[in-house]
Amino acid sequence: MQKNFLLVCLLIISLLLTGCENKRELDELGIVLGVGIDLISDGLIQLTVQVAKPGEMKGQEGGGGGGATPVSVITSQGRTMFEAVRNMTLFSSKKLFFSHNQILIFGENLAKHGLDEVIDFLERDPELRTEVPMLIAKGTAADILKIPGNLEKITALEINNALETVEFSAKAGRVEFYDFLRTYFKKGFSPVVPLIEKTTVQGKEQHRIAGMAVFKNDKLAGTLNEHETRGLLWITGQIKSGIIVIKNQKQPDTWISLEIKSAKSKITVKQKNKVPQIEVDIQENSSLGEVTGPLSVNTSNKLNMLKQYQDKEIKHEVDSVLNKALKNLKADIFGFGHEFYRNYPKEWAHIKDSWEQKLPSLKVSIKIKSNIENTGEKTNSTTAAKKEN
Amino acid sequence: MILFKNFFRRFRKQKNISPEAEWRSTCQQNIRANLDENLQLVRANLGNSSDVIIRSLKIASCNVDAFLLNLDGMADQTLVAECIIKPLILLEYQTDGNNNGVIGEIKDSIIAIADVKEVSSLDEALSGVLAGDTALFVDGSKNALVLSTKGFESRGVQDPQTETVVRGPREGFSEPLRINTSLIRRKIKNPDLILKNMTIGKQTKTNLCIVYLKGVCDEKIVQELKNRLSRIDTDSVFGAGNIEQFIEDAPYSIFLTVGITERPDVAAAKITEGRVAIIIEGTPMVLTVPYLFVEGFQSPEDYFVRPFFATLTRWLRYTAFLITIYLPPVYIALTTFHQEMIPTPLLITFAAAREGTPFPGFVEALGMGIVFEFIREAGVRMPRPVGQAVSIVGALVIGQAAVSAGLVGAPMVIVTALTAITVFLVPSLLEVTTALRLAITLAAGFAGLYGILLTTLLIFIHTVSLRSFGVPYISPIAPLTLKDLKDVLVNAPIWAMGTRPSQIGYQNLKRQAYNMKPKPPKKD
Repeated sequence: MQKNFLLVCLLIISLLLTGCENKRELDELGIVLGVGIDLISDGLIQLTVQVAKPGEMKGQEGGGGGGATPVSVITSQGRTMFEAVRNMTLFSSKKLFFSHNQILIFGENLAKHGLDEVIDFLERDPELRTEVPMLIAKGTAADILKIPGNLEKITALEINNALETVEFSAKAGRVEFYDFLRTYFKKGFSPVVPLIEKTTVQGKEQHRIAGMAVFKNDKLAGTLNEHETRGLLWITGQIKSGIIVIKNQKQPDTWISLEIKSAKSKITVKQKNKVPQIEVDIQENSSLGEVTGPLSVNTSNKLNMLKQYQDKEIKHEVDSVLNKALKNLKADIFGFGHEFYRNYPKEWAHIKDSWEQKLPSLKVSIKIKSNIENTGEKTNSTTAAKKEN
Repeated sequence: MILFKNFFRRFRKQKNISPEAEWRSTCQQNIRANLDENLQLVRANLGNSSDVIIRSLKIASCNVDAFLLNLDGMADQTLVAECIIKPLILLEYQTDGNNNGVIGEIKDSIIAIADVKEVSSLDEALSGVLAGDTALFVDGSKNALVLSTKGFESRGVQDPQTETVVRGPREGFSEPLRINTSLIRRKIKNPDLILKNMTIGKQTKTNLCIVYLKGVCDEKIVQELKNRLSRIDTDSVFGAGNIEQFIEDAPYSIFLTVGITERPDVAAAKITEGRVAIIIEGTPMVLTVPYLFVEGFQSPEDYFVRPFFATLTRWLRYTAFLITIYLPPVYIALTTFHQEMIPTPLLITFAAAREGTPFPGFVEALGMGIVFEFIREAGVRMPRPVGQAVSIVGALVIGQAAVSAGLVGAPMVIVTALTAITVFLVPSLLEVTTALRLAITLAAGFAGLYGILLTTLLIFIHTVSLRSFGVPYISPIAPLTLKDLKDVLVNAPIWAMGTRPSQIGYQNLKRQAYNMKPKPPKKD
């Protein structure tokens, strides 16, 4: 009997000795909502965090003032990332809690120097999530995090949401840290990360998503503007919505906006005489969203004409990014090399070292098949309808 | 459990002479032929109590002395006067004068009472008197007559207080045993309905009645119940709970293995399913065995409303049960151990509410839980007129003021309130839920979700090992009986409930005809 009792006791004790006992009350935690990492002089790493001040968040009831910001921005430095994190305790009364981080911003300096210095900690630490959207700041990350919230109270949340709504313009893509790591480790694939910059609109500081940053390995190699970014997204098939603006070539200074309803792309890699040949098939569906000037789209001829314009515009965007990435930056941001490796793993072994040199001369053929599904609620443009009357 | 048993066994090795037997030996006397001796014996036994009525009279028909014995307030005195005294002293019926036959003559020809027993021992006569009957002692006879004249004040059949329904019968059990058995008899008019009486309690001599349906109920369960009941050697029985604790399968478990109901329709339904009911004199609560865990979620209302709604409400009860047990522990676990699992906006809301509150979340939860139990207990026990005071104190002082004073975070109040409301969706499991919640909350406070998981595992292990009169407690879920889930997972339409629960009514599984789904007549 006593033996059994002892056994039960041992069992219970062993169940309780599993460790991971970290009790922390909510009010002892500084909930980190945004993390910015910069490289400053002397090779020091500067960490900037946005910490929520829950008390100020309550806001509406009884708060009144509204002047108080619900986040505070704290900055610390260290030789390594971890040291910088722990140095935060020199400035903060609460233990920082990183699990709810909404955004990860790297400064331009650090990106140019190479992200390898900090990635290890970000991957290793269990508290940090890798599913957090990642951005490269033009300038320093600290500057971005210091911009007061505009539509939302918290800048980090605002940027996070902005990266989701940006798909309606398709001028930048949302890239999570995890995605970055995945492409980073892939063969023949260069990661791209959205760029963010600080602008001043009517005397008010604002952040703006400004295209994408191109990486070669862990280093920032160059940037894509919005036009080129759109081209990249066409090729990688990441476009969900967006507007294509084309010029009505028959009427000066009139424009036609087409709303992208759906888009698909397919990258096929072939080999001809040991030379890789890339084919990109882009399929697109759109609807007529806006017409300025007199134009009535009431015949299939006119619709076909619009389709041609559309094809041309897409082609233009795609060409621009191919030109920029392959010829200028020599970065395979489309994953052509990776696709080639998947299809011809043996051949890849021979050319993988010279892949970068081969990029400028890579043959990429683009096929675009676009369609305009409908013309909205009417056929004639408003100007055209007025003239007919 | 075994440890406990051993612990108590040490104190139990005492002499085993029951005072009951002692008392019986003095009382086990035969009725004498001499009327005066009998009178003295009765006086001695009843100790000259003030409510004892002894009426001496002369039986007119044979000119023999006799006396009537009953208790004021227990026997119906008008009945005694009209049907016993009147015929005895007025009726000049010619007898053959044989004194030994007098008692038989009186029984057969004079007394106008339906239930008459001839007894020879004083004990039997007295126990009848103590239960409200009238005893007739006749000079020269060694037997006495016990005449059923029970007529005491009782509450009558009223609305059941603890189990109310919207559609369904409104009568509830009352205190007198006879009313209660008749309530069941009225529902099940079947000669197979067997009622077996027993008397328990040395002092109280409480009658109880085992009710079951022969041919449906397993006789082994009845026998086991009788064994358990006859083992009881106690002073007093004042309520169903007194008996319940003596016949439980797992007395140390927080799970109840004996059902309790106040509704004759529920008791009757359980009897027809093959269960045994124990009606106890003096309480409107009737026990039913075997009792399964799922019965706590089955309300009589379920069978009176349409099946879809019944299924919905049943799942509401399951959800409520889970919420009332798990909400406070999960809240504590998430806010003090696993903050990364809370969605960010919610976490910030929680953090904002926690800001400035002095106690750790665990203490907060425990404190609020105890406060709720205070209010609940006060609400049950307090005199009606002060009810408002309690609700004001409960709602305003503890809910509102505690938050605005910054003692407790608002989410904690919401958690406690939700727990409090949901617990009453499964009122029959109130004791279970309260204990479980406390246990899991403690575990969550020490080890977070890990603790919750461990306690849940323990609860599972414990419940699947429980039996109620040989029937697995968690059945029909474990062991799984798919057929019986018709009354567990869903509430099947009444016409589809073709079989009795197979763990209970296996003696006679078919309850009704199959294929009774109503449909419109076919067009010719």
